[in-house]
Formats: sequence, C-alpha cells, structure tokens
Amino acid sequence: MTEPRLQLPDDLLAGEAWQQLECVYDPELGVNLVDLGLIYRLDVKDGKVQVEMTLTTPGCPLSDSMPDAVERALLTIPGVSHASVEVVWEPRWVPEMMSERATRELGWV
Amino acid sequence: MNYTIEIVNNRNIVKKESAAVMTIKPKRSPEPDLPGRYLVTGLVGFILFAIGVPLLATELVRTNDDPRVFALSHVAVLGWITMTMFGALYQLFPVALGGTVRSPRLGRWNYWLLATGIAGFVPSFYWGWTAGVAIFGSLTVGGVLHFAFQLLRSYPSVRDWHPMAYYVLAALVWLIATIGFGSVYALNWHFAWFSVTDTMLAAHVQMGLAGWLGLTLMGVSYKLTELFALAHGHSRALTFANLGVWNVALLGLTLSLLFEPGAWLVTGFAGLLAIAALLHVVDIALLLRTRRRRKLTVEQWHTFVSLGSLLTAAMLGLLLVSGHAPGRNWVVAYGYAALAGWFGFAIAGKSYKILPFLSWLHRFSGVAGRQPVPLLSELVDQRLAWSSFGLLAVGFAGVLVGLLLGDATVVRTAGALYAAGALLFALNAARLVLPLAFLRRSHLVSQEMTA
Repeated sequence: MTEPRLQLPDDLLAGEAWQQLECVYDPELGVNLVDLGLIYRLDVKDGKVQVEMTLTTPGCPLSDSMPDAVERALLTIPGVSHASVEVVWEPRWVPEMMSERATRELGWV
Repeated sequence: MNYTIEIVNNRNIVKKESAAVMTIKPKRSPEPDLPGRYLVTGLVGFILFAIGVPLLATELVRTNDDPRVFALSHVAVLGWITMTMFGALYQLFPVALGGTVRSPRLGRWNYWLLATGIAGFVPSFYWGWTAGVAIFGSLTVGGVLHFAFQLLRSYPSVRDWHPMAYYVLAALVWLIATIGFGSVYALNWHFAWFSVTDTMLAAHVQMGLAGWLGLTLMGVSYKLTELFALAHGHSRALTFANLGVWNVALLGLTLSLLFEPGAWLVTGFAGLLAIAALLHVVDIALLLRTRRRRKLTVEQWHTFVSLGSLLTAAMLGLLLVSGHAPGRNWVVAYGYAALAGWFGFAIAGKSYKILPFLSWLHRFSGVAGRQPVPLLSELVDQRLAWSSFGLLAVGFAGVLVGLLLGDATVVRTAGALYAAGALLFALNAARLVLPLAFLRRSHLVSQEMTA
C-alpha cells in the first residue's frame, strides 16, 4: 500500500525549503549556503522544487557534493515530491553576495 | 531511504532511490585509495627524513657529496615530497581543474613500481651499492615517467584553465627532464661512462627543485589560497609574469651549468631565479590581502614560514653560485632550506586542508544535507597541529643555523625537535588518510549509509 502524499501550498513549501537550506553548510567555511549567497533562485510548483545555485569559484572542490547536499536537504521536506538543482556561473559569485551574518562569521567585518 | 552504488564506465555513480525522485550524478574524483596510498607513503617518507637529519648530523655538516646524504635527500625529494605531490595532484586535478585522470587503474599499479623503486633506490645510495642504484633507479624512473605521461594525457580534459594548470604543465616537463638526467647519472655511477662534475649535478638538482617541485607547489598554492582564504579579485598578471621569468631563468641556469660558458652567466640566471622567487612571494602576499577570511589559520602560518624559506634558499643559492659560500655545508643548508623549509612547511600546511577535505568528501559528502556532518576544521586536532608547527619551526631554524655554522650538535638537537614535530603532524594526518589508502569509495559510502 502506498502512503498518501502530503500536499502543502507552494509558498509554505518555499519557506520550508529556504529554512532547510540554511541547515546546509559549506564544510570548509562553516557558513550555510543561504548566508553565503550561493542560492540564486528557488521555485516551488506543485511540490516540485527547482533551485539555481552557484559556488564560490568554478574550480571549487565541492562542485559535486554541494548540489547533491542541497537536493538531499530539499527531499527531506514533507510534501516535496521532486527536487532539482542547477549550478550556474552567471552572475559570478562575489564575496559581497554574503549576508552580514556570514561576513561577521568569517571575520571580514 | 535506500542507496545503492553502481559502477558505470569506471566511474562511481551514486544512485538515490526514493519514493520521490531518482538522480544520477557522475563523480570525476578518483577512488580515494589512489591519492590515499601516495599520501600515506609521503607521510612515511617525511618521518624517515625528519629522523634521518639528526642521525646523519655529522655527515650533513661536513659535505653534500656523501652517499648517505644523497640517500637522505632522495628520501625527501622522492619518498616524501614527490609522493605527496603525486597524491595531491591525483586528487586536485579533477576537483580544481575539472579534468579527468586517465587510467586510474594504471596509477594504482604505477604506485607499486614507484614505491618499490624508491624503497630500493634509497638504501642502495646509503650503502653505495651502485648496481642497486642503477636497477632501482630505473624502476623509479619508470614510475615517475608513467605518472608524468598519465597526467599529460589527461590535460585535454581540463575545463578550468586556472594558472595552476599552466604551472603544473610546465612542472611535468621539468620532471621528465630531471628524471632523464637523474637516470643517466644513476646508471653512470655503476657503468662509469663519463665523469660527472659538480655543475652537472647542480643542474639536475635545480631542475628537480625549482622545475618539478617548485612549479607544482607554486601552481597548487595559487589555487588553494584562493579557495581556502576566499581570496577573490586578484589580478593574474604577476602570476603569469612569474611563470615566464621562472622558466626562462631556470632554463638559462640549467644550460649555463651544463655547458659552463662562464660563471657570470650562472650567477646572472641564479639572480633572475631569485627575482622570480621574490615575485612569487609578493604575488601570494597580494593574493592574501584580498582574502575574506581574516583569521589566520595554522595552514597560513605554515605558508609564511615556507615563503620565508624560499627567499632564504634563493639567497643561499645565489651565494653558492657566485662563489661566496665558505664550505660545502652551505650547499647542504641550501638544500635543507628548500626541502624542509619551502616544500616541507607548504606540504604540512596544505595537508591540513587537503587531507580533511579528501576525508570529508569520501566519508560525509554522501549524507550532507540529510544529516549533520562535521566541518573540515573539526576533522583536524587543532592543538596537535599548532604544537607540531611550533616544534617544526623551531627545529627547522635550529638545523639551518647548525648547518651554516657547521655544528653537528646543534643540528642533532634541533633535528630532534623537528622530528618530534613531524611525528605530531603524522599522528594528526594518519587518522585522516590511513583509512582512505585502503578503501574504495563504495565501501566508505556504504559504511556511512549504514551508520
């Protein structure tokens, strides 16, 4: 017997998704991906989440594992039926995209 | 949630099966045991070198022209530094340059060829067994050449032409030249075809130190400093200028040492190489000024000592070729400043980034996002790292002074401190790299999945 699928409004899911991504950390910098400014776009439609993200540099050693981690994190949210992550390089990430909290944690300010 | 591992076209594919979605992503990184076994062997080489310095103090303060000193220098160059660089390049080539290493399986076989060659070559040097030097030297040459060609064959797959790609490419050419000259000298020691002069040996040493090891280290440093210090917006003009000046100076120095057209030419090119070394130090300092992570880490303190040692080695080299060195112990001091100082501190420092990253990637990347995972810094015992750095730095400075003064007691005492620092470093590093040397990724991921 298949479990009934939980259906939540898309805007509620979007909020949940942003919160969930705040729990995914860059293991080197110790700052979450949202505060680092790496998540460019997050769309939810009918329980399907699409994320556009970048990395701090094209040669980032985490280029395989961070998108996977994002996808896994999104799929843990009840009501999310599908998650896809696209890594983009335009616009190129610059440190000014970080939140104030991130810059503080890195000792920049 | 169920996870299964499939091997498709010799690449690991993590296939996620859930009620919701199935995704398949290829991984470019080689299996962890490939870099892991080279890195573990490098660690063993480091310990042997560190212990060897105080044990050979009497020979080291006397001359560089001694079979036991040759053995010690080759433990450092081949057993420690080259093995570590091979391991690091197997790991960094895919992740930092976006390339795919061709024939990783051959790389595994090649490891045994190289390890056997070095394990026989060094004792043969030590006991002056010329036939052993020729036989095991040939195995070592085969192993090194295979690595160079394997990486050169992989270059068309590079996607990010960062300066590191050009530095390592040039380094591979110098590696082939170094090993070519070295093999002729090793065979010649047994067969006595011609007499090898000091300047001919110096050319071999320069190609190895400044060409293969130096260019690789500089290239990797640019990439890792950008990555880990979050340094952005730095102009690459000086980086490429340094690459050009360095190679021209080294080519000129090598040719003038080999053909001896005049001492002034050797001094001139050595001076140009020293200027290039200064350019590199200035360039890294400018790069670090753009960093967004302000707090200096133990890795960066290692970098500072490494760069200081590079300038010291450059000055000593200049004094040697211009005939201002008081004795052969200064040749040993020059080699020690380059090997233990410039390369040694850079390797130890960067290991605190590369090893945790390698460990994290293969142990935790499969579950990141689904459950809490440690940060890279949490995988390293920071107290042990700082203690090791202190002992290494004090020991290194003491040995260098002892070598310049020609005092064996100072070299022995400071060398013991350096060896203690090396052992602390090995304790920290071994916990991370030992499991990787013996396990394939599929085993590691399976373990994490069931944990």
